[in-house]
Amino acid sequence: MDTPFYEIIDHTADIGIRVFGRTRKELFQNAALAFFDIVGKWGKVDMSLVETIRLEGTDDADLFQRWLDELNFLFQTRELVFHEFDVRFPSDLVLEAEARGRKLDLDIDDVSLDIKAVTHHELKVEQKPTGWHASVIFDI
Amino acid sequence: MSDTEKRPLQKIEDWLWEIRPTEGMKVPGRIYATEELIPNITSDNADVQVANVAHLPGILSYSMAMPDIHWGYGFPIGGVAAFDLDDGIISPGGVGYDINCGVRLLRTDLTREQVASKIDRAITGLFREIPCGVGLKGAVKLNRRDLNRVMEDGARWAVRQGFGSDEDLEYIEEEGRIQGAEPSCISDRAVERGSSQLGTLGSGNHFVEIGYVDEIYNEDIASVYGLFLNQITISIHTGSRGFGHQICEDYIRMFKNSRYAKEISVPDPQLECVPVLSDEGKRYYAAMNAAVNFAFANRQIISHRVQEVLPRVFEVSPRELGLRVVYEVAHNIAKLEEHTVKGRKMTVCVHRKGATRAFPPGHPEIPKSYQSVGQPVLIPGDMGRYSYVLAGTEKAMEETFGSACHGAGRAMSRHQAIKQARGRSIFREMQDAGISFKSAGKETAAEEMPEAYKDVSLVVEAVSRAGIAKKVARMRPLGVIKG
Repeated sequence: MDTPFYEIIDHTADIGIRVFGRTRKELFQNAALAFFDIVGKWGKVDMSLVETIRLEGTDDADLFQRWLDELNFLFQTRELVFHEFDVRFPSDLVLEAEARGRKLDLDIDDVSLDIKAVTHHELKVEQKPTGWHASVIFDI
Repeated sequence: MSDTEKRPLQKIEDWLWEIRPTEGMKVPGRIYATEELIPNITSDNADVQVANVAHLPGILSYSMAMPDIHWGYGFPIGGVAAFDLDDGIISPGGVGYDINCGVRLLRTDLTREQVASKIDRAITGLFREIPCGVGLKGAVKLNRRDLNRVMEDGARWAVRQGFGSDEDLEYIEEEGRIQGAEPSCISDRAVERGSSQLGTLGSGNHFVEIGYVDEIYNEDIASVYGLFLNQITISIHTGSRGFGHQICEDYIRMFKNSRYAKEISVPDPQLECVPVLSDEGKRYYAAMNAAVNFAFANRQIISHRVQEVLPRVFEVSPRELGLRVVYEVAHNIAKLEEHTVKGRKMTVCVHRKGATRAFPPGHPEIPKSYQSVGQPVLIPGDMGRYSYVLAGTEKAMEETFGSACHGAGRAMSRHQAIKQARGRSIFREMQDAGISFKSAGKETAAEEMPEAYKDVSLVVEAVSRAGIAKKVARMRPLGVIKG
């Protein structure tokens, strides 16, 4: 992408992101890319591992929060790092995705952020004429 | 941010400010802070949050804030709020994501002079043996049955596994094991996180620090706590890791979807809460206590690692090292405690989020040997300056439900800190200041540099002037490990 698809929301104690996508699918994929972009610098891109994810939410914002929460869970608890995402919405409040990546390798990876939680604060997902916009704050 | 308008602060004393109740507030707000701390507090709307908490059902006396207050999710960090059991609420936002984040202070029989040349080696040794940062390597892996035991027995479980000794337990809040934990209230997701993260430090502002006592303010109390000038001390700051974070998230979600979300009107959606005695409230309390015990076990294990490393690197016997727990406190917790409200003794639900219990002399819940002087209150500062030991007072019991501050809080964001550190070597600056430093993350030194934090001495001065805790001793860092 030529234009930046996310920007950091600077916060004294925590950190957030504002994400953009031309479509809802792109928004969710970009949010995932942004997540791994801020969490660390990865020694190599390796897509050998595929994780299938299925989530349900109560509305767009809730689904968005659950999506990032799931990625954080997989990173923190299963030590998985993802570089590529394919997101689908089989129905309005259901998300299915394949996330491609590899196991975390601290010999080559440098983790910059240890995210405690994907908060519900300033959590927004909006469709505007320009496209889809979202914001979320991470507790660190 | 909430819809609540900013209300002016009225000065009550040089260290105490009040937010008079206006529509919706059930009690006034009270902020313990000296005048110089006030601009910082109002600039991030933490005072608005104090007023918001005052709207919650069953809140008693005041919605309180300590001098280190800063903005948080719903409840401010540095907040204290106690609720009546019958008509009051319980809220995960009033505890925080890192349930039972807290501090353990250990003392030794060694002086700074004896080990000054060995600190680098000690920090290298601690960094090798104590897992920090992200990643699961080095954690104590648990099956479900063992995790259940950790949830129920906390530090006591850890001692039975050979981490530390029985003598440690008396010097931990709740003796390292709070009653009322219920493993059946824990989600599978939290179980998975808890099973793989016990015995790890984490990241951010968590640390293990070797320091020395550089000032004694109260000889009598210091002597009872076993502290002396130039004494080598060790502080451990960490919490319940992903286990606690997940429990908080699970219950925030449950509370948002409960019927009380419509029934209880709150000025900020992040003040989601339920009645303390509701099913949901009881489940959260039971789950929170599981995380409380997990954190107690976590610090007990890390403390044991310190005990294993230091004799070797300091080249002394364990007996010569004389490592002992001074005390351990929780600063993110909700507790059922007995307090006197308007002359009546009652059990209340005290939420402390970024606040420390500060029980006075004579309180039955503090160690016998500390009965004459009060409970130690441990206040960590940033990695370059100082930390404090205070003692709880009767005034704290009267005014703040037996609570005091917990630390300094950040002055600048991580992003700003990294920017400020450009062209500098914070690692070298620390070394030049005589502080040995090791971290898992490359950016940690910059993110956690001393100037990224507020000056904790101002916070400690404020609580001391307010009389809710008494200054006992100050420690300076010699070596720090972080994630």
